[in-house]
Amino acid sequence: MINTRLKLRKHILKFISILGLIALAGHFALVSVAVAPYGWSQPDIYYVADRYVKPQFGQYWQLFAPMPQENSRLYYRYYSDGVWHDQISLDKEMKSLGSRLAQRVALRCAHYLAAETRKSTVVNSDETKSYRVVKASRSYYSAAFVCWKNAQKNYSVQPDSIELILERDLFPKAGYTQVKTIIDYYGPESVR
Amino acid sequence: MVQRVFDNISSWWVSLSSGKRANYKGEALFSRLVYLWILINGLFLLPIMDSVIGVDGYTYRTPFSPTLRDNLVYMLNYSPERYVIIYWCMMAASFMALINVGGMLARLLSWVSLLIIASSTNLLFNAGIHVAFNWAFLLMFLFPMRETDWKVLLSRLAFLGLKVQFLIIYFFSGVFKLKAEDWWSGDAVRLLSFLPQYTPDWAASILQSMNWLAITVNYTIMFYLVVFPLLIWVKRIKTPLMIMGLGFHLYTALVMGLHDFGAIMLIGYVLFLSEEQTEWLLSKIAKLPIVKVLSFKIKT
Repeated sequence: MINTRLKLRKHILKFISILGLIALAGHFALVSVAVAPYGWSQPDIYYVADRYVKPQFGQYWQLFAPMPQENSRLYYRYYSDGVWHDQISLDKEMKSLGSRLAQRVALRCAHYLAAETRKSTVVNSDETKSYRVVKASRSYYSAAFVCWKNAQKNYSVQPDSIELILERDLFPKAGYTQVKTIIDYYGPESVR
Repeated sequence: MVQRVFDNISSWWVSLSSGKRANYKGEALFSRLVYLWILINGLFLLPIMDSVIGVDGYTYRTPFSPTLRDNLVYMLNYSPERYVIIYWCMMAASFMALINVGGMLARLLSWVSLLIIASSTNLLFNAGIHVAFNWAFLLMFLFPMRETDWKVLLSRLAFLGLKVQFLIIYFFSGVFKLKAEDWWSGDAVRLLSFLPQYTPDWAASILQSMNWLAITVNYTIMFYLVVFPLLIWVKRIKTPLMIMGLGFHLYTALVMGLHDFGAIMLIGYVLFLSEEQTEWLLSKIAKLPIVKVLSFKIKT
């Protein structure tokens, strides 16, 4: 009787181990498809893997690949009481919160906005169209919102307008050149 | 050779399904280090939680798809006032998991709340948190105190999953670098030296003046990431490979300022320590006060 039970237990453990290995293999196969460079798998398979992975197993491993080709900083000015106020560095403002994590907010805003600007400049040779595309992006709204909130919190104002100034140090092979991109934003209604 | 590989895999599967323990101290140490990481990073988050994620925070909130899963994970986009409950749930559950109280429920709550916090904004967190919540999911199935064969089996499967996840990170990180032109041309590390948020002045001046060093580091990182998943299983090469990786991740954490990511990748190396190496590591850190929290006894 005891021998029969032990044998049955062994078979059950073997069955669970096979089931577990299949589950692991399936999970990591889908994760690998979702994480792999685009074009490595069929679009249909990628879509299924992507829906499975995001958001609870979300991950991306394009760590500094490609390496950022520029260093960007975000500044802003706000319009209040009929006057445009001085240019403010978002990085310095977030640093004043006393946390390195808070400074990341400024870095990320500048980074994503610069990426959006770079992407649309490549696609749209027409500057006006490129500008409209950037202004419609989530990166823009996110950056404008952070600047607007910053003005609200630190200067106790309700800005009528915000102007974003993106300073980009581009890194060609020898040295770097600086480019300034000014993105206007009128009225806080859209980001409330 | 094929026969030997087959025999090794076969004997590994027999050992797995027999309910025998492997490096249980390594499993327990890894589990506790991950929860400690969550707690420490949670403490760093506490002073700025309200200003970044709170109701009046800096996060620009957008709606997501109306599925149940998305509504749960992105709940702080819809109801930011809940961040206090979610945050303290994460801290409490992670602490309970750290000291082995609350079992699977504590680990489940830790994973879910960490996931919700991580999904609340894309402005605060880097790849480290993605590593953390993917591991936290698998750690739900790791039972530090095991009385039954099936729990030992699940723990070993979870531990295998943790290793595979770590190897996926390395492999695909290497693949993306292999596909990037600046990495192939050897220019990537030099470009990194122009980013002051990741490279302090002293490191920048070294990398920019010693171009051969930047190029060597560039190619070493590229190929290290791709070959690591294969060579880590070779006993003779494992230790020097891990020491090399230790150097890279310490640089990431201490010099580049990516403390959270560097730390969690260093914790990942515990997954590949042998039983002897785990015992050696534990004996070295045994004198630290925090180890009393990490100390454990496994029932036989």
